Amino acid sequence: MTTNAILPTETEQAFLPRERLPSLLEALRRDGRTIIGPMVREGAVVYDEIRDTSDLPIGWRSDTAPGRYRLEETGSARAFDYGLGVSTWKRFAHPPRVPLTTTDPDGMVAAVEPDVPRVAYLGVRGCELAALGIQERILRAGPAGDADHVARRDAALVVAVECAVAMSTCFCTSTETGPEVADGADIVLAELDDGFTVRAITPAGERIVGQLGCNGATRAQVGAAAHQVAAVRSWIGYPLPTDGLAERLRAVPDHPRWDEIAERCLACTNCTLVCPTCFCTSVAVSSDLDGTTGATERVWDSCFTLGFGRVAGDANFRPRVADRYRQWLTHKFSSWWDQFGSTGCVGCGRCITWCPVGIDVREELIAIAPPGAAPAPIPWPPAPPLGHAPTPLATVDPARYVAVGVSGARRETADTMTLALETDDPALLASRPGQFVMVARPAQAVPPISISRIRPAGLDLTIRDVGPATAALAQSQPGDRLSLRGPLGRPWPIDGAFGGDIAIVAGGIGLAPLRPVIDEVLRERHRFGAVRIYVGARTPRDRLFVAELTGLRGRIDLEVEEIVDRGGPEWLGRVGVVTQLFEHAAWTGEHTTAFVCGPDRMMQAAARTLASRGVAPERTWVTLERNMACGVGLCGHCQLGPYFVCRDGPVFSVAELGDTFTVEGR
Amino acid sequence: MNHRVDPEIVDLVGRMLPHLPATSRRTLAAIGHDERPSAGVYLMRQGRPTLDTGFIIEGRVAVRDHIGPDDVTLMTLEPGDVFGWSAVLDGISTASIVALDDARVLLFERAGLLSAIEGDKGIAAAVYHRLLEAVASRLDATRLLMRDVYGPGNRA
Repeated sequence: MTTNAILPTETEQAFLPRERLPSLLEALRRDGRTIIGPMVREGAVVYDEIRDTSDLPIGWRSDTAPGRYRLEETGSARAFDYGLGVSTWKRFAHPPRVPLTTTDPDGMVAAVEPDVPRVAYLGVRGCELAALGIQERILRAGPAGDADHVARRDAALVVAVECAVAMSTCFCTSTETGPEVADGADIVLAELDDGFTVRAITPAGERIVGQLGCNGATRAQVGAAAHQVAAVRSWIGYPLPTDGLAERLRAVPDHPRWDEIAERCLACTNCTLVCPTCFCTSVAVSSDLDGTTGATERVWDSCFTLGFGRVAGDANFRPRVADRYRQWLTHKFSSWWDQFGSTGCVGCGRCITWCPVGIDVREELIAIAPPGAAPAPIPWPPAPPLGHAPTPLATVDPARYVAVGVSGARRETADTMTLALETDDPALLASRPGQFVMVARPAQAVPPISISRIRPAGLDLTIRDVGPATAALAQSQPGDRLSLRGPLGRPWPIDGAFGGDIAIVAGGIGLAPLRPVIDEVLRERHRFGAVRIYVGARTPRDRLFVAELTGLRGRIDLEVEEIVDRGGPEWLGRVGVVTQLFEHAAWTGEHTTAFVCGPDRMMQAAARTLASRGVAPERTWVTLERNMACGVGLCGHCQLGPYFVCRDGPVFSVAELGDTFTVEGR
Repeated sequence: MNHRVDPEIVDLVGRMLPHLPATSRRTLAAIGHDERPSAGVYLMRQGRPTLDTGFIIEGRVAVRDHIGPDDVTLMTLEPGDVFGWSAVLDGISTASIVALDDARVLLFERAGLLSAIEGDKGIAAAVYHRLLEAVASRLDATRLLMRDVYGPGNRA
């Protein structure tokens, strides 16, 4: 490696004359890197492969306003005074399509190993660098990392350029993510009329800068660069007061402005596509014509799409545009802090510029949560207490699928089957009650399925046929093979109930994830006081595990009550909803821990009735259903207030959920 | 007349309306009837005058609606539940009430109950509160059932 480094002494910075900018590109290429940088294409600045400096947007500047973007020629020789274009670096660090798995004719699922290019990102702004850092915090530092993203970021060298101009849509000063370049770059440039001040930040950056043969930058040059960025800061001002904004936003889930925005918002997803931090993805499934082999890809998704909050059976947790806009804005400016300890917005303003109807988040935030407004009277609850997950999520490899054999298939109701699966996989056999697995079959979506029994040599899955993927699973027969990923999620905290009474409340298929709780409580019956099981079903024909429940009813150490919504002449039991089973019961709940599973409305009603019996919200546990596409908190679909249901739940106490449990559309 | 009140009925009134002051319990107990209907006995008939408001002490009763050719059980009620709120409104039963097993109920005849409510604010508050609780609970149950009927399928 050539190291004729003349790293400057006077200012600790080098100076690269403009005419020698190609030497930087050459050094990057000698380092084996494809250079990605800004260029003008179809009337906008975009990021793509740069072959020489003439590709750069020399003499161009972006003029932006809400819903408006124009490029103007300035006649300047500067290459980086274009402001911000439409592209973001996430296109390269977290691409729109990434192969995930392939499935062979035997049904075995294999993860696709990341194959990423060695690149240099040239021209990264302060706000964009902050965005890369935010995405990395999500996709690398979570309990499970995104292997493709990690590989791409490890293969990228970042050459940042400090802003010398600002656009009317910039507000990085409010989000404290610019205009100065902070941590994360390997090399930082500041463009002056005659060249660039150069700072090498990392050893990799030093190796590149060492090859440029630069002289040291003078104090005047460094001062001029500092003055430029200070002028940008001053010009932007502080357009969005963010002090206390996260708390103020939590206080207004019912603000009428959400509905007003929804009348303008087209839910076109532009804002999320141009956002440099939005990271949500879905899994696209493809197969050959006979469905025997298949592949999955991770693709960008947007919380503005109608299907984003949809789950099997066509239930949708965010059916209205107002719900989806509220989700997006409150996530960016409020719950992101709870989840990742930072803002989710870097103030680049792209969502304002590229919104076809010109919705300006700064204006909306000031209208919805103005400075001086009261913060949330009841803050969102803290993150779930650690220690409840006996199998830490950190041990879960999101790309690891385990082949299991189907040893039994039992029909429970007209639309529900229980599959008995055999495996010797230690992780699967260490599953805990309340956890779930992602179940893959060729050419089908990969649904999350709750574990309905944990056996010494396998698992039971109880599957209700509510869509194509679950229909295919429900048709599995002994001898078939499935691929499982898991176990995932936080289990029921059964050990926290030792020494007290137990109430198990199930509605419909909600009995399936509670069945392992019943199993475990019975195994350790001596550890608990009274055990009461309340089960509701739509009709007598929709009752699950009928023989098992009949057997349990015969035990003197259990109270088992059932009720159905609609009886019919043959039904001699109770008719009504499950809460009626304990509404007027004689017991009081001071020493009771409740485990509840069913449709959201049923769980909310059960939680209210349990509270009226004295069961504390801290000891009332529910398991939530949301759209869980990845199962490890990376795809964003199952976000609920400060939580990702798949990663932080699906089991939560009612106290942890706070009003996120009851506010519609979250 | 307080000296003639059956103490067992006073006790039952106290169990059903625990916040009612003692003197009001005795007033209400004086018009209460401790009945023990056998399984299959109709306590109210849909569309007929509601003669009583009742509290279930023991056993189960069914709320039935005449739909098509049959009486369909809409809901079963348990000890602690109340039925017959029509007695304090227009006096016409919107559903039938039938004992499902040998039950025990505390009944308050309509005219006497309305008179007691008129004459004792404590009784009015306690009875209306209890009836409102029952109506709210019934509405909540109905809402859950409607979700089941009209909503999409629940979890897989």
